[in-house]
Formats: sequence, C-alpha cells, structure tokens
Amino acid sequence: MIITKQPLSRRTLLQGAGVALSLPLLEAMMPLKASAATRTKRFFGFFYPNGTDPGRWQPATGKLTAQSLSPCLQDLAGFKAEGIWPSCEALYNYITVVNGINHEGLNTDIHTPSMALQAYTREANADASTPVAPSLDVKIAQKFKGAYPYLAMSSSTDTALTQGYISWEGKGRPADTQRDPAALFKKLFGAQQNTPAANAISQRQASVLDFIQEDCNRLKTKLGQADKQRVDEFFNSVRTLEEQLNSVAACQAVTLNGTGRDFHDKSKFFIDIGILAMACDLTNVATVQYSNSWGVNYAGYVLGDGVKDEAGTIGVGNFSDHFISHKLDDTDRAKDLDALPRATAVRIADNRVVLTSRFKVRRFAYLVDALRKTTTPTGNLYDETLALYCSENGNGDSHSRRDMPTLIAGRAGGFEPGRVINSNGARTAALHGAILNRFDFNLTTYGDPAAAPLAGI
Amino acid sequence: MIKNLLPVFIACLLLTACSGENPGASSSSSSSNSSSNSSSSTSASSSSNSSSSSSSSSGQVAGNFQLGKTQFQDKCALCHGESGEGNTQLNAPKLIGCSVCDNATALSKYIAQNMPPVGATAPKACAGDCAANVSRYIQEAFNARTAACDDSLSPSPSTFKRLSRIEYSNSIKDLLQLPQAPNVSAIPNDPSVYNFQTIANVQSVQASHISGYMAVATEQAEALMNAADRRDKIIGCEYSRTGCLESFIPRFGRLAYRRPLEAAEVERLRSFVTGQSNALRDQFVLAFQVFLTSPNFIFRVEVGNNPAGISKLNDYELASRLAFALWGQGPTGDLLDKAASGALANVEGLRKVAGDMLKDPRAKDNMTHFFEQWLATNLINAPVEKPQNWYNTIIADMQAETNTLLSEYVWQNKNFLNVLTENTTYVSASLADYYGLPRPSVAGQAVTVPSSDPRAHTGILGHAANLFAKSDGDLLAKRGNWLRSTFLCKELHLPNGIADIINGKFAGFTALEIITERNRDPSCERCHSQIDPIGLVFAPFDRSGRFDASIRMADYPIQPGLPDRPGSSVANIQDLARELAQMPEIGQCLADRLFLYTRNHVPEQGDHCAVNKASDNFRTSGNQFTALLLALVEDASFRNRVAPLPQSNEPEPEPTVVNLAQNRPVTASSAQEGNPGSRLTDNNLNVDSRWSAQTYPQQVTIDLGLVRSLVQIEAYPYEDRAYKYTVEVSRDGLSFTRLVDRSKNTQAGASLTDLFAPTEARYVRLIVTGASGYTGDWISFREIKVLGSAP
Repeated sequence: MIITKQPLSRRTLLQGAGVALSLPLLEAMMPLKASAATRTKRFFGFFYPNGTDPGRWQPATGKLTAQSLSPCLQDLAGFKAEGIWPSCEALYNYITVVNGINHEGLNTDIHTPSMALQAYTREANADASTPVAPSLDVKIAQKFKGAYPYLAMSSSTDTALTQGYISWEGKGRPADTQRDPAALFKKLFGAQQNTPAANAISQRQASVLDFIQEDCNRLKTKLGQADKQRVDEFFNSVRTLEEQLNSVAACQAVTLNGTGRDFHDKSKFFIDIGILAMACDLTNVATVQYSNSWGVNYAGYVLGDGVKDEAGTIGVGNFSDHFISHKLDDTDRAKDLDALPRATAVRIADNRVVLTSRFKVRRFAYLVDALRKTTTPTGNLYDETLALYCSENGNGDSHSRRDMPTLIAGRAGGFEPGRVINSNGARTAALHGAILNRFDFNLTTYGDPAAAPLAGI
Repeated sequence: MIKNLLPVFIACLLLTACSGENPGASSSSSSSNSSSNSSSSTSASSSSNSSSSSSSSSGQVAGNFQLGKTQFQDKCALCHGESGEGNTQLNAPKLIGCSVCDNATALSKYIAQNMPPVGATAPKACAGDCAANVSRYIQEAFNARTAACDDSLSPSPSTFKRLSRIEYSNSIKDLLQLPQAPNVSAIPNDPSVYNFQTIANVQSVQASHISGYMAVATEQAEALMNAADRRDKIIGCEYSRTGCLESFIPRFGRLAYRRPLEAAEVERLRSFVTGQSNALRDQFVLAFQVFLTSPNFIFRVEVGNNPAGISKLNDYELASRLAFALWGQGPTGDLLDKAASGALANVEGLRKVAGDMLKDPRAKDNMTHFFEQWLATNLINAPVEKPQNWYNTIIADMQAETNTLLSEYVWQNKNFLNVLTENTTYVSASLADYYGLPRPSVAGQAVTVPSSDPRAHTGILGHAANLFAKSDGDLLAKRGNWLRSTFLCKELHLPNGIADIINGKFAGFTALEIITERNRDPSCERCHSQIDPIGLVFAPFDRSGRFDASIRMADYPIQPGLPDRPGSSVANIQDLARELAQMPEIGQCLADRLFLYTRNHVPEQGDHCAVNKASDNFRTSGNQFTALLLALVEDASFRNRVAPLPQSNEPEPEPTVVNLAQNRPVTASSAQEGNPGSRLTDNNLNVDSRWSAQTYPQQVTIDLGLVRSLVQIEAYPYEDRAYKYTVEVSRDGLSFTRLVDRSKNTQAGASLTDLFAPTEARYVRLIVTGASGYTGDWISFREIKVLGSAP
C-alpha cells in the first residue's frame, strides 16, 4: 500500500488496532517525495550516559584509520550482530572524533543529561539544574521549523527535569519528549483505515480541534496577559498538532520491529522512528536519549569474549552502566571485583569500561549506518545529516567533564567525516557554535561563557 | 523553604581563607550576637514575633524586602548562610532570634556600622539603604512568624495552571463515573521538581498533550456511549430523546468547566455538534471530545474579579481550588452547588465543607499521591539482580506499607510525628518474609515489629519503600540528603562547577578514604558533615532495603548522628527516629511541602504566613495532619490569586560569564620590543599578537579595573608550549593569593583552562617559571582570558 498525499489525520489519531511490524526498516523505506532543490539539512542527536574512559577513547589526531582506532572505538572497524542490533561494516571513514571537548562549568549536579546539549551555563541561583537556552537540537529545529519541528525521544523513565529531558525549547521549558515508541510510531505511521466511517471520525476530530482553538480565543478575552500567554501556548500546540496531522507522509506503508521492553529496545525503536521520520520528511531534527544516568544495564547482552573473568562474571554482568563506569572504589561499583588482588581488579574494571564504551559506539554506529543506507531523492540521509554523539560526563569514573566523548557523522553543510580533531580543551560552546554554522547560523561566538566556533568542524 | 544554598557552598570553599587568615577578626561581633541564641530557631523566633512585625509594618525601617533578599544573598549569605543559620567556623552568628534581630532599627544600624567584619573573605559593604533592606529581610524572612501575618498581604503569584496528568485522570474518572482511573498513558507524564508533579510553571502544553487529551476523550466517549447504564446517568436522559442534548450540555459543561456555562457557549457547542453530524450518538461523542479537550477544562481558570494583579476568587473558582487541593480533581456538582449557595463565603463555612471533603475517599487518594511524591516512594524500580525473597508485586506492597501507615495516622488524627517511631506495620505475608518479620495473622492486619528487630520503633524510616535506593549514587550522602530535604526541608545544592573543581581530587581513594576526606577537607566537610552522619545510620540497610548484619557502622571513619538537632545522641536508626520525631521543624517542613503540593508552586515570601499558620495549627492540634491541611485551605490567601507578570519575549541569553580581561591594561616585568604585555588582552589569538619576554621567571599583571567575581582563567601559550606557571589574584594589588598552580605543568596545547570557585579580585598576575618540552628561555603568550561574572 502506498500512502501519498494522505493526511495522517485520515488515518486517525486513535486507532486501537496494532501495527503490523514485520518488514525490516530499510527495505520498507523508499521516500517518494523529492526533497527541495537544495539539499535538506538534518540533525540527529544521540545521548548515552556516563561518559567513557577518555584515555582509552581518544585516538591520535589526524585521519581516522583502522590502525588508529582506540580500544573504545575499535568496533568502528566493523562488528557482528547482537540481540536486536544488526552487524555493521567498517564505519571509521564515516565518523569524525573530536577529542578534548570541555563541558565544565555548565551544570550544578554530577549527572545532568539535561545539560548535555547545552552550551549556556545554568542560570545563577536557580533552584534546579535546568537550562536557560534552547538545546543544540532544538536551536537547529527552530531555524528550520517544519511540520514536525523536531522529535525529542527519550528512553528515560525518569521525569525529573535533570534526568528525563535532554531537549529544551528555552529557559526552563523542556521540549515535547516522547517516551513510548510504539505510540509514537502509531501516531506517525499508524495503519490507515481508509473507510468512510474512519474518515468521518478523523474529520470530526479535526473539527473539534478547530472548535477548541476558538475556545482559546474566547477564553483569552477574560484573562490577564500572563494567563493569555499560557492559552497561546495551548493554541499553538493545537495548530502544531493539526500541521502534524495534515502533513503528508511521503513514504510507502512502513512497518518497524520494536518493543518498549528495555532501554535498548526502546532506543533502537526510537532511532528507527527518527530515521523513518526523516526519510518521510516528517522532521529534520531528532534526538534520542538512550537512558538516564542510572537506568541502562546490559542484562541479556554478552559484552566481550564471553569468557568468565577472575570474578566469575562474563563481560559486565548485569551491573548498570553507571556502576561499571565507576570502576573500583566508588560506592556505586561492581562489587564482584572487591575480593580480587588490586592489579587484577583494576585491569578488569578498566576493561569493562572499554566493553561498555564499545557498546555505546556500536549503537551510534547503528544510527550512522542507518543514515547511510537510507536513500533520499537527492542522495541519502547520511549526506544530509549531522549526527552527534554526546554524554553528560567525560570520564564516567571521576565525573570529569573534560575530554567529553564526542563523535560527529554525516556530511550536512559539507562536514568532512573520517578524521580525529583535537579541540585542545575547547568548550562545548565552541563545538556547538561550529555545528550551528554548518546549519547556516554564521555565528562568531556562541554560548556562555561565549566561545568562538571550533575550527575544523 | 526550598532554598538555593549556593553562596553557602562558596563559603565552604573559601573556608580556609575565611577562618584561617584572620581567625579573630570577626569574633568580637559574633560573640555579642550569638550569646543570646536559643538552640531552637522555632521557639526563639516565636518569641520575637510581635516586636518584629510591628517594627516592620509600622515603617520604622523603610527597607525593601526584595532588594534586601538580593543584597543579603550577595553580601551576607556567604558567611551567615542562605537561611541565616550562621556558621560557627566562620564566626558568623545565626540570624534567627539573635539579640538585635527583633529590633529593625538596631539591626540596620548594626549592619551599617559593623558589617562586613574586618578580615572577612570577599567583604562587600552594606550601609545606608542596603542595611535597611537587609535588616528588613532578616527580620521577615528569618524572624517573622505568625504574628507578622497580615491578611491583606498578597500571596505570591501563581501560574495559570493546567491539569496535571493525575488531575486529568481523577477528573475524568469522576465526570464519567468510571469504576477505576482511566488509561491516560497517551498524555505525557508531568515533569517533576523535587519529585513533585504539581508544579504549575514547568507544566507546558505541547502537541502531544493535545493529541493525548483527544485520544483519551475519544476513547472514553465511545466507551461511555456503549455502556447504556452509565451513559444514561452521565447524560441525564436517554440520548435519543428530544431535548436531551440541550439539557446535557449545560449540566455536564458546568461540571467539566467547573462553572455554569453562558447561554452563548451552550448554543455554540450545540450548533457545532449538530452541524457536524446528524447522528445523535455522534453528537454526544463530539460534545464529550470538546468538553474533555477544551482549554476551559484543561486550564484551571482563576480570574476572580480581576484578570491581572490580585483578585478575589469567585465562589466557583474557590470551590475548584478547594477540590484540587483536597481531592486532586475538579469539584463535584454538589460542591459547586454549595459554593453557589454561599457555603464557602466565610471561613467557618469553608472549614465545614472542607472537613466534609476530607471524609471522602478522594481525599485519601490525593494524600496518598502526596506521600508518594514527598517521600519519593513512587520512584522505586526493580533491581536487575533480584534479592532473596523478591517477588513480582513487592514494590506495590512496599508502597502500600508506607501508604497504609501514613493513612492511618492522617485519617485517625494521630500524632503524625509518631509515624517516625511507630512499631506496628502493614506488610503482606510475602513482604514480611522479605524483611524477616512475622507474617500478619490476618491479611491486612498490622504486625508488631519484635523489639529485637533492626526495624523496631523506626516507623516509616525503616520501611523498604524509604530505604530502597531510588537511583544510583552514594547511599550515605543520598540518604542523609533525602532525610534532611524530606523532613527538614533543608536542601543542599552543589554550587555551579563544584564537580569540576573537585575533579580527580579523590582518584585512587577507597570508598572509606573518600568518606574520611570529604568529612575533613573544608571544601567538602561543610555539606558532608551534615548528611553523612545521617546516612551512616541507614548504612546497615542495603540498597534493596534489607537489613544486612555484615555492614557495621563502626567500620566507617565517621560517627552516626543528627547534626540538625544539637545535643542529640544518635547511635542507630532507633535513636534517629526518636530524635527526629521531637523536632518541631518537621511540622514547618510538612507545611511547606503541602503548600507546594496544593498550591502548585514553591512557597515564597507572601506565602510564609499561610505556611507558618499551618505549621502552628499542626503543632497546637497535637501534630494532626488534617489540621495542617485544613489550615492551608482556610488561610485568607487561599481565596486570592495573584496573576504573574507576563513573560517578555525571550532573547538570546546574555552571557553571564565574560572575559573581564579584554582590553584591560597589563603590566609586564619585561617585554620584547614589538610584543608588549598589552597584546595579552587584545582579544586577538593570532601568533603575531603576543607578549614575549626572555629568561625565567617573568610576570604580567592584569588590572580588571574593579573587583570582579572570577571563575576561570584561560592561557593561550605561543606555539602551544607547555609553560609552567602560577596565577595569583589580589583585591588591592598588594596582597596576592595563589589561585592556579601549574608550576609543574607538562600540558601543551592551544590553551590551558583552569576553573575555580568564584573568587573576588581586581588584579590577576601570571608568573611564568619554566616550560616542559620547550628548551628555549623565551616566555610568550598570545592571550590571557579571565572569565568572570559580567559587570
């Protein structure tokens, strides 16, 4: 079945019927609608918590080659399938590593995913560690505002502002963040019921939306200025919803395999939805927060060679990513190493962070590979997108925010992948300023403290 | 009472300088002030009520409270603490109940003449208006309590609130008479602040909210139309009968919009639904869709007699506010009728109505939500590795244990503070096994904890729902912080950048060594000494809330305790529970939290009367929870609403931190011709814009013009050389303090960055003593940036 010029509302907001989830994503996607003459620019943010071990992450500056891959990045030479995740060929030509980005001074707390895409220091004396400016992804989305301005998708089940929201519209205002991939998929791509009855229901819902917009206008006549602003927000959200419902999905009927079972399943589902939404021109900016700082663990995965270590654990066991990131000595640590001789424990703990870091890189590689394999009328998503890997900390053990793990992929705005850039401790603001300039911002400085855009991005 | 303690922590960072350099400098002033302090802030301040309020309200000191607050935080909080709690190590007296605190004139004069004391760190003068403002702030914020309440004082502004997801669910359940709460998962969950999901100003309305409302409304409307019995009750007539729609719209609309509909509204909706469909059933579905997605339903409209500024709520709005406060949902038809008949017009009437409302099961449900958010028992997640005796429904049983006990105390009007020492509990048989407690003889019946059990006489403190680690993190610090924040409303916040400043400080330390160090190092001890002793009390209970006899408090390098209760003796969780239950601050904190929950914002200055009255009511009632709750809704401020000021268009945030050195004059110990010191501050990073000098050591001094607050220094060496240097700062250009020590630096690069705690200085001196890797004797930098607060 081909859906063309078919408003989503006709497929209904509220279909209870399940979605057929069978065809592999990439086979199913064949965008029909030609992009604009000028190549669309897109941004895909990817957050994975707890940093890495920078010493085992950062490769030597220069061209990124199979030989120069660091222990944490070694899987960019290709990796096998595991669980829900497919295998991937070598991708080091497709990813640029930025060493030494400094994310210090921005946030109050030790783990603050809400600040990961921020370059503005938190407001002084604010009660909570909430941003004062739009996050990088939203800033780009705001410039290229379309029917779906952006998709903020978070697998975090934590609704605390610091842990459950990575995308921010502005001061103290988290972006509309999706947490249920199945519901989101249904909303964006739900199976069409093109029957007169279903169409009538959809038509009526559209009329109700019109009616309540008029309710807003009438309500506002009774209100003071500040209250009117809140009703305006409601009104604008109704309009955004209508735009979403009327936007044309330029895709064949699509299906996705996905569940919301755990952080991994949800995040893969979200990545797939983000890719699909871009391919179908429903959005050009998407961000996936893989987990909050404490949530994700590796139960069900075998990281490493599958051989038991001296503590009797295979890979990283069922310990949370946060525990593994803390290696030894922290209260939050994998305590199975406590009884081992110090040197042995250190070796295993270091290796475990390499194992989890490799996993994190493989997940970003999956995203990059999907961008690469998704064709558009003007090429493929990879050529039109900048994808950014980020975290809330640089060194997961010490919480240091120097040497943030930073990967950039895609060729949007002429970006050149396959390199290792040494930022020499440049601030996140310098990185973000440079990325924004790839999206035609023409900034000379950005962020707080303000920094000049990082050269070479 | 959620307060930002940032300046306090800066004080803790500067402790060495503050108390070390001039140990006796401020002691003379402090001894005269602190001698009359009582150990209990509550009792001390109560006694000073009348005098403080009369002096401020009669205008003896014409200070401005808001300005005073700002000035206090800027100039005084560093040493005296954000809440005026004082700091003995800094010789900074407590400002609660102090000898001059109840006399505004004397206090103002004292501040003007004596503050800041000689030798204080980062002293900032405060005379004239500042002294008057600050003294008013100290009086009213720290020393004014019930008697200072003036019912004409306006409450603080409240954001135009939308229904939270829970309120939406509760309201729909009631409106449609559903046997249980509807599925509202299509609506995004509400962001939480301090784990409360009722904070209006973070609740935005986004497209996914609208589509969620529409989804729930449509599903519920269809379900209702298919359930004949319920349908006829809700609609009030057989829907196909002539005139049914016309009678339904105003009747149901009044419940949904929590006010009578205007005739024009009724007609507009009627004509809309009949215009959309000829099918009667569809017309009703449409009407329900409108009612349950309209801004008139989603927003709690409170305009009273004045849409801007302060207004007195009308009867319906008051009924509505009461219903949301006590029930977490909109009012019933009965309550609207009562309001319309004037039943809420005076405080006696409202008290009676509210008392009746508390007997309703809706009140119990609403307070259970409060308890779960207050104690954060709603955050428990199953661990990956299941402990022994774990079972599928254990989390619900843990939550039920705490909720049941609290409910018993609330609704049987027991002394609520005894929930901390209660020795009976409500466990299922399986949860009893998990704990190792005797099973209840009859399901649902209370179990008495044996006196030998580690949980004996610890009430809710010993409940797994509270002991359970709700997130990763240092359990010692987390539990100590949780207890202080939950029961005493004492919040600790890490100052901006502190995590970066302590970066790597504890590398290679064992967990116990870290605990030792953070309770010794002045920059950490100030906070950790307040929370770690409390956390230690809980240490024998593991992450999953089970008692672990192998964890011994004696193995830790610190002592257990409750530092917030001076003179207390705490060796175990029983002692902690007993001491805590005697702290009157709990009532104050509970009032604070309940205000936040029922009024949807953090209590601010204009709200403290209401909060204080409620906590007084709590105390005089023998610590009855419902007395506290009723006092909050009976307060005069409950009848008023202040609309907030409109938000201005949000410009790009101005940098709050800038390069203060830019274009400032530089003095160099020497300079190569053509490469003068001034090149360091010309904002030009090019190699041909640099300062150069030959032979070590050399130094440059940048004059920032005025004393500024500095947070970071960036040095840009020529040719990325790894120079060894130190940075010193000074307020007067004479006495310098070392801020950055890179005297053993080996790091090369385009720039080297050092962050530090905010430091006040005017002069910044860079002293270069050598280099790594570079063997020449030239010293050359392209730029020095001194980042600090924008002027």
